Amino acid sequence: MDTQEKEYYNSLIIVVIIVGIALLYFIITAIRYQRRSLRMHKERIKAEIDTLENERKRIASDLHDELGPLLSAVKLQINNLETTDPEDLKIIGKSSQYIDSIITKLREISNDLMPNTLLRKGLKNAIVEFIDHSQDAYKLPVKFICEQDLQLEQEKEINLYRIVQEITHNTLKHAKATMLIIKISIQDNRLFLMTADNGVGFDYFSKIRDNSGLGLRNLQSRTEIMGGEFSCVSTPEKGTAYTIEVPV
Amino acid sequence: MDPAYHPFVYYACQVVLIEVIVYLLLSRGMENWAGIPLNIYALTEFYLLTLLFHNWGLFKRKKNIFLSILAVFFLLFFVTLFIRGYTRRNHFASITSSFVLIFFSISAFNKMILTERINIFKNAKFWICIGIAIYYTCSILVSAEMFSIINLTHKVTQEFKDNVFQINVYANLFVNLLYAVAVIWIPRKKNITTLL
Repeated sequence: MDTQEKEYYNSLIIVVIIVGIALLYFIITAIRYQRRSLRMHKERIKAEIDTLENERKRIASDLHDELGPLLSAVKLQINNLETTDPEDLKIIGKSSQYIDSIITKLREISNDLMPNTLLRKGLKNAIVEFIDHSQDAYKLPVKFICEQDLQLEQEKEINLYRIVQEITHNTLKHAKATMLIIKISIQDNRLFLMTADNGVGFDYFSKIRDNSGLGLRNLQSRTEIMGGEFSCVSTPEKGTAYTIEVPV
Repeated sequence: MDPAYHPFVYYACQVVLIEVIVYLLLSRGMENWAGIPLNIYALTEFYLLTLLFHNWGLFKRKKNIFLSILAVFFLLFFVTLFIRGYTRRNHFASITSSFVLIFFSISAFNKMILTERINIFKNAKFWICIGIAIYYTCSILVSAEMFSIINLTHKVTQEFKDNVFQINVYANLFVNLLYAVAVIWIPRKKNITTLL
């Protein structure tokens, strides 16, 4: 190379180095920004979900422990009324029936808000109970497969239970499916929750883009705070499948 | 493998194929014909990488935008090819496509920073975007330098040419390492419909 070519070559090397440093700075800044934004996003979602769950627990406990006994006391008082008038006896009987219905409904609402089975017997039993109830109420055949014992933190159990609830409700409300399968398995310290239905399916990206899929965002948020990965595969007329992978 | 990443695999395969073809042509003294496979490569490279960005949702999953970008580039490519001759390498189209691909990769990178919720180092998109940005930036710098010097002095020594292209070789080597990391993190295909 002659002197002029050497100068050109050196200037090119300097330009490449400067561009390289600028690119490196851009990448490092972007990564730091993403990490900070990710941490803040997780903290915010966790706080929102914790508040929601605590509030549900409080309402469920108030309904079950305070209103339930009060209504039972009212029923007892009504049944203790002494009257021989057949009209009054009829009213007392009807009122007693209404109070029974209210107590049953309160228990159902309380159980929907925070299932006792989930807190006392764990995730597997709570899902079985929820599926039995859904099958009776909506006549959708749901197959639940879980061959292992699940020993999870209560927070994770609640989140996974809410995910199963949301997916089942979505299938019932929108999918027009004739079958829903839910499978939970643990492999290599990772829990896999997989569901599949044979319904009408939907366009996942347009739902997310149009911001109409609040339930989908809820599924994503709950998976994120557990440090897991969420994926949804849905094809119009071919059904929808969800996979949630969570570290145990 | 996630089907969205298929264009990347095809891109890697075609790079190997073109390298072999160009090497064979050059080793048999057919330098004048090396422009043809390189021009075909420029077209398919742009198509595959744009398809990759389209699969990642960079164009809001609108096929019309994707097809319009391709149409504009193909038109530009064939116009310049017609003017300069089909056996010569179409440097103008290569530099244009490099600029566009850098723009796409930075846009995809920014979008990923805002939307992706998993560790960025475990994301294949991150490594591929960085690889594309580095390689094509280097490629533009080298091509621009060569053009400007050839236009200024009209003649350069072979040693100078070799040294300048050596920069591209190192950039290529580094980017291939980034792509290898990307391949490790390409998401697996979720074959969960087998539950039914």
